Amino acid sequence: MKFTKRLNLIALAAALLICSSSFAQKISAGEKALAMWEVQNVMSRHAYYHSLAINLKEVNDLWVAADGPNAKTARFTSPAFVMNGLSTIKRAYGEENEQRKKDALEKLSKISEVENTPENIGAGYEWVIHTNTTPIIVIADDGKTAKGMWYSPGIGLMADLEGEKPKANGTFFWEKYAVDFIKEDGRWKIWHMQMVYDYTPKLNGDWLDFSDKGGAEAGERGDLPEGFSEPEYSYPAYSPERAATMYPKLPEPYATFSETFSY
Amino acid sequence: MLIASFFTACTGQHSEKSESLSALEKQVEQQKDIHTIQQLMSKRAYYHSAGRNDLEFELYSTRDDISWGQNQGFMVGQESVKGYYVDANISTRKKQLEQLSKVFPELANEEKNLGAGTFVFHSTTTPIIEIAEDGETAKGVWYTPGAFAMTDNAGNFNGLWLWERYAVDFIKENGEWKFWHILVLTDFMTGMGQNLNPTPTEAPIGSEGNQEEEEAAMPITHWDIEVENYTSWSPTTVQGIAPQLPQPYATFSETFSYGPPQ
Repeated sequence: MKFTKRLNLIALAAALLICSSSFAQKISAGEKALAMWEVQNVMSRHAYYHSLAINLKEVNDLWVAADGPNAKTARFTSPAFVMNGLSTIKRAYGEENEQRKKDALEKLSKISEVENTPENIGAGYEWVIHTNTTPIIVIADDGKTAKGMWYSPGIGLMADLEGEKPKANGTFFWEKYAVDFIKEDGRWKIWHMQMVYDYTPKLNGDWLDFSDKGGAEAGERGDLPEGFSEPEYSYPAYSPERAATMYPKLPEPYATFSETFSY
Repeated sequence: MLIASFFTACTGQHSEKSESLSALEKQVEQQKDIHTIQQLMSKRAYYHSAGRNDLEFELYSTRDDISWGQNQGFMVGQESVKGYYVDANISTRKKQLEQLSKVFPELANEEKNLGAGTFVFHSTTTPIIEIAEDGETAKGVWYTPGAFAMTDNAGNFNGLWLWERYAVDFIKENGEWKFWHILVLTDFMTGMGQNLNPTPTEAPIGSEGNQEEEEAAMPITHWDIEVENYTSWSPTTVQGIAPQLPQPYATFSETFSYGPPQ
């Protein structure tokens, strides 16, 4: 009898061991490999949405849900500011951008033949293209979060509406993106996004004039409105005096988000 | 009873393992397809930079509804795409070398020197690649910053920056991924080292950027289908959402096409 009881206990322990190993929070190598491409696709979608200045759609489609568990901890960081929480990001990066498009069209309509009508919204505004190259993408072993970093050569074309006729202005962008992604309802979402600029010369031929650093990103500003804070570290853009700095940190393999750093 | 539950647990695991193995196989297949498509797109870029449009053309499907589109319209079908993209390119390269060898007599007008004085590169960045659930077709978009430079008939070297988007449908033919519809949408191009004003707004209408000499060699009289696919940037351009971005799909009939309107 004692022997049978002991055998049963051993069998139970073995079953628990086998079951617990199969329920361990670790995704397969295949799932991980595919997730890397899914994350790349999300990052590329961000670039195309941003190039069309449809930032509000980007926030709604690609960022964490406004009413979800990660909304409060969402973050959008540049060397000049941090937008804290999805409501701030939505307002400053999304809704205010919509208003700026309308303002630009109103100005443009006064100095050109373009009419100030809803179908023309976007004319006279910026056209910002950030490419995604040189990716490092790491998926957490538990498949719940991911980290990615990209080098992003880009170009920003902006209408200059201050004169009698609209003119073109432009800036080259050489910058890095570092992003944390989190899975919500089976889809990868942008959780924390950080951009740092290396070099942003104007497209006027004076590429090496470091007193004139080119245009600013959509949503970027000098003051700090509600929901904004200063970044803990402000990565300096290139100047002849700048020391080479490894920043942001490169993503490293990790098991679960609490074991790694955050962007 | 406990021993029985042990066996049940083990049997359940076998069935789960078999399901997860099948899911894994599907994931690996999708992953392989995505990589193959990215490499096909990159291979095309390298052929193009070497002026080997003939090799690029071999990457197309043999179907007769292949297409090549730009801002202004589409070339459709094997004969049309080849005539425009390959034959015109060969003729242009020959004429360029003939002119260049007059300016630089040390450069012999021989086949081995074709492409002298010209540089063209289109990178493939910012990919979105979606494979159909049936594995028969795929869609991709890329952003392509590029550079084009050539030596003109007076021997001066001139360059252009090109900022364009690729939107491509792929189809599997005899187990190999092939180009089906390629659409190149030009946002912007400007001379190297030049100011932005006056704004250049016309998209190139040659084989991705060498239109000046190509027009001289073989003027484009018409597109098979003339349609405004895209408008390049200017301070007054209204931005449209183009190209549509690929979304996950089951089979091609359920999604849109980057080919000509039907």
